[in-house]
Amino acid sequence: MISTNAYVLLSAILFTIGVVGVLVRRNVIIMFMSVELMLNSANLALIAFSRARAESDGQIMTFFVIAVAAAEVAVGLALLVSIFRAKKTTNIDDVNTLKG
Amino acid sequence: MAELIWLVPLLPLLGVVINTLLGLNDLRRSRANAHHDHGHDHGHGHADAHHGHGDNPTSKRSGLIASLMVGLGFVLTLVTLVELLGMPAPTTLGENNRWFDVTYWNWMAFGDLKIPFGFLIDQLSVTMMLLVTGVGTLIHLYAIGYMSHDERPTRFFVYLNLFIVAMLMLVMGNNFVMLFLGWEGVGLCSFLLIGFWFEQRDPPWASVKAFVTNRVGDFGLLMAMFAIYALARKPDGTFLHSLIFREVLDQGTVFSLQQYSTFFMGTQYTAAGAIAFMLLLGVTGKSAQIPLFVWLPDAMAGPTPVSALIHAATMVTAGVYLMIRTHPIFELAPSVQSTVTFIGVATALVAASIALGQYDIKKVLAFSTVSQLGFMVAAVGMGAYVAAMFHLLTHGIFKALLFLGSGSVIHGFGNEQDMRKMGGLRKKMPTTFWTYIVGTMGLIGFPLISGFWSKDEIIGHAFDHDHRTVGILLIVGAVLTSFYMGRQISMVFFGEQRDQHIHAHESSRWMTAPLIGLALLTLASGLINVPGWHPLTTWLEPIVEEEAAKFHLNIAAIVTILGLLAFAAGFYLYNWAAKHKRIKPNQRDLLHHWGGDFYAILEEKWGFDALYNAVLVKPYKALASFFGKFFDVKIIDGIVNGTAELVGLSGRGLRTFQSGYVRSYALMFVIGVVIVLGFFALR
Amino acid sequence: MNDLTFVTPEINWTVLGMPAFLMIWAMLVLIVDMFTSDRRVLITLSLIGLGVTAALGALDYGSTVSGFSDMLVFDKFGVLVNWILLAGTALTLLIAFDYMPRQNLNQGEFYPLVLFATSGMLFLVQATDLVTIFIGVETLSIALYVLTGFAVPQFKSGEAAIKYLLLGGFAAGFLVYGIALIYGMTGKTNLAQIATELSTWQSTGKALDDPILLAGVGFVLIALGFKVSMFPFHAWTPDVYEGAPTPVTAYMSVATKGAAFAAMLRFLNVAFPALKPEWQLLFGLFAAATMVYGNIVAVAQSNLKRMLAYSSIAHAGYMLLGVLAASEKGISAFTVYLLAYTLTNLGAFAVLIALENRGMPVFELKDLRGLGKRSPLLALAMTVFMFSLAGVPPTAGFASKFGIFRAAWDANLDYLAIIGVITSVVSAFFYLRVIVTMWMRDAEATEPQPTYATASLSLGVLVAVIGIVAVGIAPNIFTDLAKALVLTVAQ
Repeated sequence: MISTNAYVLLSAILFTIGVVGVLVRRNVIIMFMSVELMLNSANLALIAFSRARAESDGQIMTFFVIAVAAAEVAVGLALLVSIFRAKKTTNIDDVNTLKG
Repeated sequence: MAELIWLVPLLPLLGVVINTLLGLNDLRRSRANAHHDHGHDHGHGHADAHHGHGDNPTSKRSGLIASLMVGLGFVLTLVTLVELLGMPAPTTLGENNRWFDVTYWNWMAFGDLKIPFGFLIDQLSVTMMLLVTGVGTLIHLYAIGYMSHDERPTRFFVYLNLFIVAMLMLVMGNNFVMLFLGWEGVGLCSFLLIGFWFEQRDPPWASVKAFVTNRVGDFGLLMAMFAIYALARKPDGTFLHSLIFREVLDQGTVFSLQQYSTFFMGTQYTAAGAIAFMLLLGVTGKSAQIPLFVWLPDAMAGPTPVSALIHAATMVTAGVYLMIRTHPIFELAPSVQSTVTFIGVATALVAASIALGQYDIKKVLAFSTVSQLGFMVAAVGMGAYVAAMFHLLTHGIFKALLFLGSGSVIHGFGNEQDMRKMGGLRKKMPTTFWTYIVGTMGLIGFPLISGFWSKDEIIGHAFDHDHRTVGILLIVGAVLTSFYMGRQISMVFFGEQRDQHIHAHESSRWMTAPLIGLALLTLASGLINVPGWHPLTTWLEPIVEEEAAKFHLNIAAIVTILGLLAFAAGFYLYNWAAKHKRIKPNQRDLLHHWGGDFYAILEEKWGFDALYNAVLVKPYKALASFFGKFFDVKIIDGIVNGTAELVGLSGRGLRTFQSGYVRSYALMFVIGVVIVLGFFALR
Repeated sequence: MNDLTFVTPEINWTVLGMPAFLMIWAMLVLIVDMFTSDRRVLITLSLIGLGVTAALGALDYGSTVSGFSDMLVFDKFGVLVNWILLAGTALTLLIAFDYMPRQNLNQGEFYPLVLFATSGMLFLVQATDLVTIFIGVETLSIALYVLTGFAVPQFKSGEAAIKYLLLGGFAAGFLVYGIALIYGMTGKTNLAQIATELSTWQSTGKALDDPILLAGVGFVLIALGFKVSMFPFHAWTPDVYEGAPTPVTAYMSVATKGAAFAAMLRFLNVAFPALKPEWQLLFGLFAAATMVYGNIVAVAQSNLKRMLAYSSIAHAGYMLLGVLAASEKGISAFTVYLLAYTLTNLGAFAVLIALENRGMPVFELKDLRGLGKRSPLLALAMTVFMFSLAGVPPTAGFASKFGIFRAAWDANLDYLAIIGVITSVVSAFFYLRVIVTMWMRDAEATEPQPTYATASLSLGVLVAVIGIVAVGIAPNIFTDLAKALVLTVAQ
């Protein structure tokens, strides 16, 4: 059996990849995917801990996380469409009228 | 009624609100009209609808609302009085069960100091409330007529009602902070009303002078409050930390104030002494005693109803009320009590003498008021609290009458106040004349009329309690009073009118009716504490624990005879002078001819103003100009502007981090995360 | 087939009542919106819903009830904060009522969306479990993303929404990961049970400063700090506040903060009192930085909405002091501060709304010139709001700031209290600048802009002014009420 530590380590790596993705990528869709990766790495950790303790609390939490992530993306894509219509781009750096 | 006592101050407050709204509405309408009238003429935007000199209808409307509110308050106070009378009378000395203390909410709390918003209704406060609302109602009604030609009567009544609210707070509050709230409130209203005619030259300055002088006194009151909070202990030795009257002035607590003492310049002072002294400083400001009396004569620049209500009948008596309220503290400090007496007597004499040298009809009355307040303060200093209250009440009535009478004269004499131009007005203003005579009789102590009893009670108390010098000096003060009143009556009402350009006429019924009412009250007010019956003494006895004063026929006879002689002397002297054309406008008084420089000193008010100018005002201005023109501009502004510059600079610098790029925001976020993790890791 | 019985779960309506009712009511309003386009019907319905929700809180006020395996609690603190949030929401609807059609944003969904967000906030305030905290945060966030982008034909509204969404999702990642780590170390998600677990650790000699646990706590606090715009997680605030429709900005600036702070309070005080020295020190530094940063950058703003955004960052720093004080005094001071700030900030935004024309690109300070002459009552109200924000007596701003600093001082956070006072002085500069501009600068020669002080907006402004003066004059009534909180928060 794979130890819990390994799962948690993997989840940490995934989380870091997600964070770095948000930091370095310009494409809004990829940034969304990075955020999804962060959420799902947390899900992985939750399930691993849940399994290690042989109880279901952590797994229940993941369902909420998945639902929330779906809702967030739904809103996000709708917004992206409207922005794309206005600017013909999905590059977040072009969305830069508010600053200072 | 105990449940409804809050209505008494609330009703005038309601009047303030209603009249303010009405006034705003008037303003809007007049603006709209002005806009309409000058629709094509933007150059002349004079938007004042009431710029004429006809009758201003708003005076009657606003005045009736204001009067009604105060009048209802008076009725409610009367009901309260009846209710207090219905409570069982005290049977033993020092017992008091005729009072109630209502706390509405916890107003402020700082640490263990809790200031309730509440009223203490007892014999003393109800007596003051009756004076404030009763005389207040009559003066409000009078003002309807007096302000009928004014441009801003609504504003006037707003201020006047606000004054009533503040004065009621002062006398009804159950703790020092409430009293202070009212104390400052009446000061503010006094400031606003003295400067009511702010377009003219003098009123604004007079209002500033009144306010600043009073602030000096307020400092004393504040210090006294702080000291009471810091020093008062309960009988068991723990700190009381309260400013509620009934707790602080409780016998066991008050005595604790004697325990502390300090040596200052070779003399031992107890805490009680220091507190009483600070309170006295407050009293000299508000009640216009030496050395802070200089503001009151100047305060006459305000409309006359204001002089009558605030600067004769009510506000200036607040100091006397304060001393009677806190008399347990004063009684622990006999040396301060002597100081109080000394100040009172000195003020009574100095002010009475200055009144001899005044030509302005209201200034004479102003100094007369200062002088009579001196009588009251002297009485409090001697421990004659009932006598002081008695004189406070009778004086409140007859001096209000005199002021209103003078106002009627001024109003009917083309707004002229110089007595040298008047003369012979008794024929043209019969009602004013006769009521004025009644007021004068009250003031000079004409037998069996108000002042006769109250002044006599003070002087009698002096002789009874071994203050013979005080008694004699007060008799001198009374004699001077009679003389200047004789002079005034003669100059104003007898002889021939000296300035024939002015068309004198009797005032409207709005003004004469309150005069008649006050005249009747003056005639009756001696009954308040008439010897043999002593209702006021019986009423206040539980608070001041004082026996009824004895009546001394011999003293009364001496005072009366001397007073009447002095009155006759003043009266006939000036009648003679008028007949021989020795009184002319802009010409100095007859007494100057005989008295020379001594009279000039009286004209110059003993030089108090000049002294304060030289010692305080001028150095202060020099200092202010140093700070204003050099220190503030160069040093303070330099520091402030430098700091502001620095803040602005760093603000503009930090702004650049707000680049608008999501990834830089996320980077800032991650830096924060690193800080958090680093903190936990390196801790 | 007899062995298959359906067991109805026990639903504790006292506990769930406020958020659940509002959520259901919001759906109802959404349905009504399909049949009518009369916005008067919608706002009336919404206000009724808010009122009934508030009344539900009053029904059992005073009792402390936990429900749903202790995931939610109904207590005095929660109800008080909920009431403030409901009042803020009602004021928001009032000031938005005429603004939305004026800006051509007449979609009726606005009302149910605001109610959804509020419902999430009420839920968050009552949450006592990491799971419910997460659900509360996300419910309010998603509704707010949509509200931020409500004026989406305007580009800046969409930009603000996408920025908010991306960074919000980023923060949500940290929240979930933090929850996962805490769960992993303690095996619990319930706040009280976490505290029990930690005290077992202490009694068995196990060290509390487990790095993974600390990282988890840190992540959750960061995510909540993001919601309240704590420095350095504040960066979204100015952009989103500027881009969002003004009533939404007003709403976000007060309600989100209130709910997130309440959650932070419970999180710190219920679950991790054992780590108090750690979080007091670390977040004390953040609070100081937030106060300094918000106030200093606000000085450099000429755009009023941005200025108020930075000002709201600064105020988050002040409220954080009350949270960090972690005492009865601190919590009551925080509650009073939240009330004062809600009234004041909504009022200030209401004045901006009354002046905002259709299609106005930015709202500059100079647009306020001559307001004192043009519309003195509005200028007077704005003066009261600015004084209150600056903390000038006798406004609510002074009384509440005094309480906060006092609580911080008593909790040995004296350095924070001192920084708070100094930064308040700095803040007076840009608040008073608004007053000076309104009263002492004359409008430019161009045609004066119309003002839209409509009935509903005036009502909102009036309520705010009265509330501010009431709290300012008699703060004790409110402090006493807040002090009476029987705290399930901090024992």
